[in-house]
Amino acid sequence: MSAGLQLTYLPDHACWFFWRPDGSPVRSPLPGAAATATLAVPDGDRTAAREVDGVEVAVDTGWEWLAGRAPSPGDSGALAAWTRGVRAPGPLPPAAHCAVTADGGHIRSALATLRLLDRDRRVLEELAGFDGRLRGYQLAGVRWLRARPGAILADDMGLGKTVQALALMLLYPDRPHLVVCPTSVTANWEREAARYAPDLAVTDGPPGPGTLTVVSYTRLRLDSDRYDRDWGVAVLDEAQQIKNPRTLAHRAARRLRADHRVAMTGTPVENGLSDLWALAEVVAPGRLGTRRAFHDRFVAPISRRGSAAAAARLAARTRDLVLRRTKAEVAAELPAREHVDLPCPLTEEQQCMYGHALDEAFGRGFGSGATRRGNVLALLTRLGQICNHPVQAGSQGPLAGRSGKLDRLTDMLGEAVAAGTGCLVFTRYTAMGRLIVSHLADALGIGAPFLHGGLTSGARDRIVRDYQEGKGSGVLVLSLRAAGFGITLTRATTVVHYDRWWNPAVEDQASDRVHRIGQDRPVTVYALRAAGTLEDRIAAVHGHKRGLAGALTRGGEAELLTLPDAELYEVLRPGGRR
Amino acid sequence: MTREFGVTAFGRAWLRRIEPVTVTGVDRDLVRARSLARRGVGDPVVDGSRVRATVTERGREHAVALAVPAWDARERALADRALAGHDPGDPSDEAAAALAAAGVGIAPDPAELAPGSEVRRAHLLAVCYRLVRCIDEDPRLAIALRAPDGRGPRDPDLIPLAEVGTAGFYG
Repeated sequence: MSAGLQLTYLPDHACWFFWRPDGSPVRSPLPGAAATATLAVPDGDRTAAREVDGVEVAVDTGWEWLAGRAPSPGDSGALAAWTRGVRAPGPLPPAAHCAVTADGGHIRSALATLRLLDRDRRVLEELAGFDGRLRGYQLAGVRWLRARPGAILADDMGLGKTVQALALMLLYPDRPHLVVCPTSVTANWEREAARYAPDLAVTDGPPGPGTLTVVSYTRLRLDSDRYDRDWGVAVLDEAQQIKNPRTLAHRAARRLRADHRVAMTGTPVENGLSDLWALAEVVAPGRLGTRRAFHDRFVAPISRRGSAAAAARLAARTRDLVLRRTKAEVAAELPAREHVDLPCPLTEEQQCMYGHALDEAFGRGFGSGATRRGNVLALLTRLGQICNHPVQAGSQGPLAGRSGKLDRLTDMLGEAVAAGTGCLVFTRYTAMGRLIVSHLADALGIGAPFLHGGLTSGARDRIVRDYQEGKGSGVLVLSLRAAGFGITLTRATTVVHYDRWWNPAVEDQASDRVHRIGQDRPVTVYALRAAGTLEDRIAAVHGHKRGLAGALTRGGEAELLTLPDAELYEVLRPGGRR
Repeated sequence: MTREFGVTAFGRAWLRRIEPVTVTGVDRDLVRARSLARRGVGDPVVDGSRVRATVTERGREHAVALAVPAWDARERALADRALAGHDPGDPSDEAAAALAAAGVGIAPDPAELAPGSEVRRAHLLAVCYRLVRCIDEDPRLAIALRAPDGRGPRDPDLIPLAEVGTAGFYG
């Protein structure tokens, strides 16, 4: 029996896959997503790996459907076996478990496939406290992490590493959990935990069952005794920051004791293969041998002789240690366009300047009528500049470490460039655009062109053409107003809005540069937000406006201009009413 | 400094047979062989326990064919037992130590590799050095050369594509 609708379980995506041997279009009996899977299928008298089109269906959806349906005489062998199999385990034909493994040379046995399916379903059952729905590859990721005491999660940016880590923590509700991350990401962790894992109590105090402690690498380094205890899950986010084994942060991270140690990074080999060794030392000491042996056996042959054999061995050696999925691999499960709001903390310097600017403006008074409007607008601009960077607001000195948003952006772009992801960065301010370009050159060594209103049309066209033709680092900085329309930049699949504009339509129009006809990949739009500031208010207005089409100005800048002092202060003050 | 040959225990086992410590004085063939292995030896072609490679010296090509003696049944049984529990996908230094502890030789004496042939010793040793590098890159080769018909221990969860039958594939 060959024809007919086949059903295969794909453990790496934790989902079911409907397909047809003759390649004809699949009409799935269940809601799912069109996808391509690598399956081992008969080709003449042998079996070979082929890309097969079909439909992916979530594990629980497929299971319930199988459990509720009656076997039909027209069922293919695989479908019949799975229909029987959900009631009582029985033999499966190869078609039911023919997903090719990551090494490209094997399929899993029927038993191994059944075991992974069972584990995936168990994770889902135990994740009752998870507020949301894990995508298939995320579920597979959580199951994979659960089976390992130490691992590196190196999925592409935007695939939800944070969500997978939070889900892993929820599997151990009686343990205290820890996240170590750069200061610029702490707010994001706290917000994501509140959103997806409301049962996890984020705490500054003593850890206990079901708590989550979020701490910066700096704090860990300065106060490492405080974190010297047994954790359930210990996550090291943006772990490329601790790749230098000689630093105190690396040593402090190595000392952490946990049932599951997870290093998260989009760039496990940012500068070279030695980075991978250093990260492995933190989560799974000794796994990759001594530094010297690792260098001699892998780094030297691969980097000096381009040895494919050594690279293949390294891949085999790390398959149990590193989980990396690219956007392209899981595209079927990604929304065509996703908005991600990224709160970033203000640095102490920024907080100081922000408070000072408010005190000064309210102390002086705004006047009335047109004078008042002008003064309020000037204040809003000043606050926006401080949120962006002290230097944009007139301070002198270096750029690194002084703005939560710029630090976060730098991490993100480092990851994007390493992964070869095209990235657009929009800012309202030409001055900020220049600072970003200069900082990227200093901090990451990458050249990014800056497209702004001061350029001739010829220069603009050249930047756009070069970018689309794949030249340069893949990062392009644009002024929001100069680049809002008329150009196509579909090379990029990531958009970052460095600062916020009251009207979301302006941001959306800019994001449309990458998400338009000709874009066949999922696009992620990140909006950086200085948490606890005026930008919270703008984000709230955005959410409201996107929800209510047509309500263009309510709650925006225009409304602020009409507020009396007391209410205006309430909106603008740090942590104020949004 | 980066070690060039013998980075893994399996590679080192071969290296020790090529450069026995008991030899004193300068072995000119060894010096020549090392230098040839760096640039003058093409990628070896391995077929079971047979290895073919071309050595190029002063513009002339020399075909070198080696036959690595397979483990006998007793050695094979000892090796299987010693390797059980070690990752067959990437035999570690510990796996090599387990073989040594079981008294199973990983590398043969180079003199056994081309008995009766007229291959120059320096050329034979050059191919051996080149093999050391191949073994360093993929230590499975060291075992495959001694157990050419062997399937070795394998992961019961995985089925190689070549073994997925077409008959009964769809049930």
